[in-house]
Amino acid sequence: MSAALDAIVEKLSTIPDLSGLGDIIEAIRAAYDVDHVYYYALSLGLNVPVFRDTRGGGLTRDAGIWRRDGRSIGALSYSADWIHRYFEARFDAIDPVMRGAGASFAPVDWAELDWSDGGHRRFFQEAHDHGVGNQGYTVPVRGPNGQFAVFTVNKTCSAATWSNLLNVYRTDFMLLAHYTHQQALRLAGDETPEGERPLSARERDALRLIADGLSRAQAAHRLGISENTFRVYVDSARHKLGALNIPHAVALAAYRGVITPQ
Amino acid sequence: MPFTLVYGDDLHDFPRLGDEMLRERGAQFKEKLGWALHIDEAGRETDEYDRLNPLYIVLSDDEGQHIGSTRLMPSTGPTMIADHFAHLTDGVAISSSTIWEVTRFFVSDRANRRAAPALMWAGCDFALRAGVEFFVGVTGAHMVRVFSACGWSPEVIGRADSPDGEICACLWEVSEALSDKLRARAGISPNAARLTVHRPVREFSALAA
Repeated sequence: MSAALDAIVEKLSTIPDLSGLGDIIEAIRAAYDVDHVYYYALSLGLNVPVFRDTRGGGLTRDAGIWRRDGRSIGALSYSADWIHRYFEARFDAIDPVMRGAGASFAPVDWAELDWSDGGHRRFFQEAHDHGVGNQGYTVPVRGPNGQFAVFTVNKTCSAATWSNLLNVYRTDFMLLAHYTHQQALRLAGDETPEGERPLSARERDALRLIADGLSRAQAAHRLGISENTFRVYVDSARHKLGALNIPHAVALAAYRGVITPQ
Repeated sequence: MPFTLVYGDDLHDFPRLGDEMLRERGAQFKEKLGWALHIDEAGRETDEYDRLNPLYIVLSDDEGQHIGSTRLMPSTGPTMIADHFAHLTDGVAISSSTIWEVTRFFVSDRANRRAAPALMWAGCDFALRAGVEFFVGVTGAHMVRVFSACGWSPEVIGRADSPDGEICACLWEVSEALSDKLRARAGISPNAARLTVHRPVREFSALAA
């Protein structure tokens, strides 16, 4: 986890509504020195459409966020031209990146996809002409009720430059994908993103010790577990609360009455 | 020793290897270790997690025969350790975007001593390149010794007696250093081709449903 990630998570926690995701995407693009970034949720798994006005099921743009079919939302750094072209040409139906992400839970490095088909090569070339990078990395995110989203970074550079970038930031991209999705869920109106799995007594104890100001080592010692175990328990609690970082998890747990700080 | 990395939904692209893996899993975990598992009439062992599109890493010998395999799943979805063994982890259902679960890890009796570290290396390296920081898994106490002997000691975060013997909840750190160490133990060259997941070219359909 990097300092860049901390700054973005801080910013992510303060956006007031979904349209703020556009600023987050721009901040990620600047911080990681990539050409483009997008978060695209095909489904947030909610029982209601994430917006009411479907305007014929087409693409609509509202400040920093694109919406489609009453269900999908996206925050993308791509040009409006390319986004319209992509959906009008139904490239989403042949895009090997979407197909690869849809078939896997692990992130997809674009270089590992099969671009040999003529149609795929033409699509890739057209994307590239619109500024999409030749190197890319896509993280699929899934959740209860059919939630499915993808988070992508891409850049035009050599394979070696790309590989170096990924070696440093892979975990950041994994976390950014999930954090952006969790925040999108919350802003779209889902207060319990992880399906209301309650925290165990141990997770509540761990959060309470952090709220009381103990360090990770002190808290782990107090609970009689290793620091790694403590880290895993706290991260599990954070994930279930839909929190973006540990202070946010403690605050949410206190707000919801899950823990009572001393 | 060739590796096959394949998602559950695509396992039918490897009919022989998939069949051998599931039969040997049955022989290993039900017949040898006595676990209460479901085995179909063809001798294949499968459970509910095999239907959730897990990733299999399969190791085969030079004749293409299965000699070891394991199954990976993200801990943000259903996992064995959260669904069935939370009593080993202080009641905590472990769930994190940077933790994956490893299950059904085993190597065949026919395999040489490099097979186990080779399979561990494949899992470690693949997770490392996905940005994953830890594996979790529940295993018999004997397997903790196997992992440790191969150079990837888990931290045992909980243990309990079960009808199948002592079982342990394990936490493995994923790191570049461990990946290098396991690769060396497996006798695999640092210049070996990267492991890639089998991705069939198929008609696009399910995603937009």
